[in-house]
Amino acid sequence: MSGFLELAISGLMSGLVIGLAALALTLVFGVARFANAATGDFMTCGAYAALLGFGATGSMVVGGAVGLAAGALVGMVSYLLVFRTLEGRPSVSALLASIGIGFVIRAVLGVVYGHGQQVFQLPLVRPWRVYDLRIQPNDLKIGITALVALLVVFLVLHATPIGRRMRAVADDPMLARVSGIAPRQVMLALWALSGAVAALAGVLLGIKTVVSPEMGWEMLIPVFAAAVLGGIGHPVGAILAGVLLGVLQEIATPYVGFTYKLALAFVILLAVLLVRPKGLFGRVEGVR
Amino acid sequence: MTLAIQGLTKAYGGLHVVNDVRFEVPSGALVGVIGPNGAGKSTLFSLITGFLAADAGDVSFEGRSLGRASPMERARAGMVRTFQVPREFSHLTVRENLLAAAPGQSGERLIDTFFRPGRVKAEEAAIAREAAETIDFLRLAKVADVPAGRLSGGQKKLVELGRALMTGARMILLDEPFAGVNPVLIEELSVRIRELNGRGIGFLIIEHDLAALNKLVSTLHVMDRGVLIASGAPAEVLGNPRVRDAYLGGAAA
Repeated sequence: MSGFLELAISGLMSGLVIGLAALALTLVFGVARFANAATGDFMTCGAYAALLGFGATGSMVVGGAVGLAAGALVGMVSYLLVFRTLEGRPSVSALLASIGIGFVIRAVLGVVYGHGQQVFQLPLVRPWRVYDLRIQPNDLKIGITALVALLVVFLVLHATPIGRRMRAVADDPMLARVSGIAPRQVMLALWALSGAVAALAGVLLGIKTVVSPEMGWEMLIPVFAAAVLGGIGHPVGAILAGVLLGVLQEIATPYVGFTYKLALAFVILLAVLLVRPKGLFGRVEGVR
Repeated sequence: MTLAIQGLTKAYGGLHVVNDVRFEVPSGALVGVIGPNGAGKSTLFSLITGFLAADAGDVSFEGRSLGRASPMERARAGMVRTFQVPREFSHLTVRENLLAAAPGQSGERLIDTFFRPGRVKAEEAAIAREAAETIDFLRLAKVADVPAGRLSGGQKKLVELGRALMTGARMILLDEPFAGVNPVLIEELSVRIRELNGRGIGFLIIEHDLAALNKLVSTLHVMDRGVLIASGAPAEVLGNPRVRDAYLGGAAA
């Protein structure tokens, strides 16, 4: 039983990481109306930048901040160089472009850092024992960080002027323009936010596992599955679905084996698309 | 200091839908444009607001030529439109709909939100007061915190008016504000429009419903088949035989 619970806790942690990345995906989708396939690679950028920051200072907090900043920057640069010029074209153009951006990021990271795996050299900490449950202090920190990040994103969206404008543009871009809302500022903010959230997911994933140029790309299927399951364009849904998916994957591991736990994400993705395309929490899409 | 429509022209395949239309809306005036179906009113409205590019002519507002400006630039210049079928940010509350339209906030930038929270907060407090006043003025207090998508069509028209006010518009362009609105609310809308006009806000109203409009405006322009056929005070214009002809012809078609 305790083994089962430990799997569930570990699933919760990876679920929060998936949920964060799904949030990054869904944020962009809600406003820009396409699935950004480079989301995983934004994660990877964040992880490598955090490695740099951590290596230079030895502080994981500084490392994390550098990672967040790098993610925000990559998001904004992608928008300014690529997605801005594709606005108004069919969304498949933006989707294909995002796949391309992902390739470029992976290639650059591969050339600079090689394809080997790197780790955050964090000191080993003895796990806490709660009854006969082992809890890794790092897991707890990862979980808390993820929850704080979610809270911040939620507050930005619902309690700040820029968040209000993001939601306004998501609802009706044309009405936003004739209300004098400049789309440029809103989109820049959106891409910065999405990039930073993805980067944080990457940093947390890197701490939990290893950092490699393909780490984020390989997460893309569960991240897509979570975004779709949560109802695409729905931030809270993305998180909850991510957690659900993470826990399911971990709990299923003893039964289906490590290799096939990823297949679970595929199955869920397919099932949702076939049975309930709106997702669990989806609303009828407000595309006019 | 006026809105000047200077020879706007739009043709589709040789057919002039709007042909050399020119008139002025003095600042703070209440002006209406009427005409039978197919007169070119809606096309004219789209040309004035920048939703369509004119083949010829210009629009200038407060001395500034806006003929090539985007709809957003025209809105930022102080000339804001509403829609015949009301549009709203449906997932945002009525209050948020109004707040979103307030211009020039530091809160437009994500970076200020995190690094200059004090300034963003002060500006937010100012526009929140303005939004609250606007909500009271439009009698929307009961639904202020309801998602705008759940409102009735008439209430949405009031929200549109509120959104236009929050932008700080000096000229509001209303596209058939009375279409599909019940008589009680038409009266209510008319009263609000008159009050706002009293505060110096100019209105250009394009409308099919003659009865509601002629009581409201001081000047009426009548369009038929793309051209202006009459202009003047409502009573005088409506007595014009050409106008009667156009309307009867329009109704018979």
